[in-house]
Amino acid sequence: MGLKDSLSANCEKGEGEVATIEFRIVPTDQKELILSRLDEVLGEGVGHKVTRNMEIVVATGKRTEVFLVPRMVLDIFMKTQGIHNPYCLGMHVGDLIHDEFLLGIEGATLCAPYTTRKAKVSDKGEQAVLYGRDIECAFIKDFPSAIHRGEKLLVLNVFDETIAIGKALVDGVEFSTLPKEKVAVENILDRGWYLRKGT
Amino acid sequence: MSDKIVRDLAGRFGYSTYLVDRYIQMFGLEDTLRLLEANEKGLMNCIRCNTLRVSPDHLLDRLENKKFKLERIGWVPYGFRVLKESFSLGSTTEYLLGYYYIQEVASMLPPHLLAPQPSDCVVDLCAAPGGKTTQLAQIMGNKGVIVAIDLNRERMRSLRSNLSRCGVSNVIAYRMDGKDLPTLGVIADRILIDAPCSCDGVIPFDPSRKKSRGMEDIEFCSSIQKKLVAAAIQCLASEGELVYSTCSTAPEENERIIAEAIEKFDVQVVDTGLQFGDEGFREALGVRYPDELRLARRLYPHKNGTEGFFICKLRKR
Repeated sequence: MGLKDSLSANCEKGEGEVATIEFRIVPTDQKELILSRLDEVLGEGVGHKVTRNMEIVVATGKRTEVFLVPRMVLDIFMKTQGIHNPYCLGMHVGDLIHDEFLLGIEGATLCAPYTTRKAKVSDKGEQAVLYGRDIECAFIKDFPSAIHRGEKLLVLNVFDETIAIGKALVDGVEFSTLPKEKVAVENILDRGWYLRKGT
Repeated sequence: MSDKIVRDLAGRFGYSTYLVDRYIQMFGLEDTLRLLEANEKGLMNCIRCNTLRVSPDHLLDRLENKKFKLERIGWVPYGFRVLKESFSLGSTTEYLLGYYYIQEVASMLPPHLLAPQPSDCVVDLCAAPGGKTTQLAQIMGNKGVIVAIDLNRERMRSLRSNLSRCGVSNVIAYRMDGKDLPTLGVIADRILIDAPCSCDGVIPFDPSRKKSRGMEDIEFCSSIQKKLVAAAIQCLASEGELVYSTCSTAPEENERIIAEAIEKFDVQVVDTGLQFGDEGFREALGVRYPDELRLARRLYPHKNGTEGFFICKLRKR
């Protein structure tokens, strides 16, 4: 395909395309749901701290995407609403599916300073996580004692950088007694996604 | 220049004869030879530290600990040439954390020269896959607003992924034709147009460009570029600034676009302030261009160690 064909093909795709995603400022009930789910997963008050000074916009299509949006960006969004649908805006922090809020990796990074629900992994653990693997006890340097099996937690590397969101497969109080090969954290979403699927 | 020399050079380096013929007419035989030889050598990979996430010093430490060897780029405090890669630049933890963007040195210039302020409304008219958009965001400290526009569906996905990875929150992106910018009703303080072009400047990275583009592609791109510039100027605030760039050496995609803009619209060419690069053409391929084009800059692999690049800054009166 030559340059002209390639650019023309893009133009053709753009024409007549039906917008199937609706962007809107989050309704009050959905906002309360998002904040309460964040608090449930990561601790009391996390939702309010993370969304401070930001507006929340939701995009509803096959799923409901949640974006944190600064005021100036929201102004442009409001001004262009009904003229052009945005592709994305602000920072995508997660998705609402039915009554559950699924935290995204950048949402997790924003939440990390405000929560104690974090497991820290070694360098080898970091590599395993970024390949999308679940995490064995041998790779975990710190595990929150207050966490219960089935609860979500953030996964940090040795530099305290958020690299994944996981689900505890064991209780925090039993962690120190478990064999090294026991898988303690299920990898839900990790930063390796950017390499595997992001671009 | 004799047809034989053109044919010999085109054959030796694997180019279309039309492209070599144009190079010789624009640059002379000696510089053409140096350009063709430099294109064969390729260029060093460069990275831009994303200061929204990490400081350049910290990034340097992290990557040097992983046996990468980096060299600072003098004119941009957050840019590095990668002298030695211990493994793929696109798969390090630091990359996945959004600490850097793999970006050719010349393409760091347009956002740097546009110099957006944290309170600005900026339009990035050909934004995907997001190298320049994320650079604009870091210069603005994630403040103000960037309206990022592109038409290409696949590249928009990359744009979104890169914005997310780099922690950018001050962008609203639209998948639309940049020529339709006025329909948004946005008036911008600054506009960046890194225009779609015939791309012979990227031959050091993509040798297929030696033969894959012809004069019809140059004319086709030129027609799009004129429309993009016209749309952008319409949406630029008074005293607002526009940076126009391409990775093409063709004057039809560069000087001709700017010459028509200053003839048709109330804009003037302003100094880029760059201390390197050649001045824009005042005459090329039998066409004369206004003297103001001396303020534009042209970069070349054999002279500047960058891809072939054109950049010019306009101000609306």
